[in-house]
Amino acid sequence: MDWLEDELKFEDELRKALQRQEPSPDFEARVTSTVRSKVTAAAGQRRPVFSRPLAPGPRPLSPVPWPLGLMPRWLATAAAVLVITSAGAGYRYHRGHVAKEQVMFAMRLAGSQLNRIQMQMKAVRP
Amino acid sequence: MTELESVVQTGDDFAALMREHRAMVFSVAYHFLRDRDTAEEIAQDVFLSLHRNLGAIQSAAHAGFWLRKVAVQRSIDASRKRMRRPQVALEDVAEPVARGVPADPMLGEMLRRLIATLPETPRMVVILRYQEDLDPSEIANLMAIPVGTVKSHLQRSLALLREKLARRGVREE
Repeated sequence: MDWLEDELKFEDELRKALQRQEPSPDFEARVTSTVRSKVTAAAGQRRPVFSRPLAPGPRPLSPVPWPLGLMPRWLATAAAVLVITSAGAGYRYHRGHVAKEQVMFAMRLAGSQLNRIQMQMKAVRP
Repeated sequence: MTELESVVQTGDDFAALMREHRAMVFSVAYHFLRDRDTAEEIAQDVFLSLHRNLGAIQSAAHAGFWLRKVAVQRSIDASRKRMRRPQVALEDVAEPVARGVPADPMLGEMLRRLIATLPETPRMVVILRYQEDLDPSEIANLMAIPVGTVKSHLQRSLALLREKLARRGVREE
């Protein structure tokens, strides 16, 4: 059974040749430091919407709950413009309505005065 | 409670996993690529990937399997990307100073160089068999290839390594 012994010895030599080796001594520190910097960077991306810098680049996902967190900036601006415009239109309508009421009141006053004068003139003329 | 918390609870936190498996991950890459710097880069990448996926790790044994699998994949990817194979041509392998029965370190170095000349899949099969002491079915599971293929790779690789050693006049004791 020499061939079997040879085979086993050869396999032993392979095991010795392929023994595990340690990486460099600072390996663990390097990995830990990289992990820490990545975790810090990830935490930095989760700042509130209004504290984000206006620098160009991809916008990080916002922690604001849906749908505000997913709303694009242009959509928020358009909504604000729409609200302001419709509020302005509403105010103008209200002012017009008030003015119309005042004119009607003035006309009613003038009409009653005219009626009174007409009645007096009829009374004076026989 | 998240899965990550359960892992931490059983004491298998990231630092402990790294301490336990760093030699395995580094050695798989190093024996496959024969380049310490690249092997360290791969090992670092593998552990960063583990950190990102800690939530999916269910136990220490699962972590070991996961790390070994990712180390194998990353090593093969790196080998393909950098077109490093064959890093050491057979012609470049130094002849032993003394013929006949060499000292163990010399035979070991010669074997490592010869293993580096094997094609990708048989090379990884040999490394997993003799570095990690995995049986053919475990290797087949890890590399997603049939057990029969693993066995034939092992047989052919051993025969080839013996033949190459004999051609250089080296006999293993």
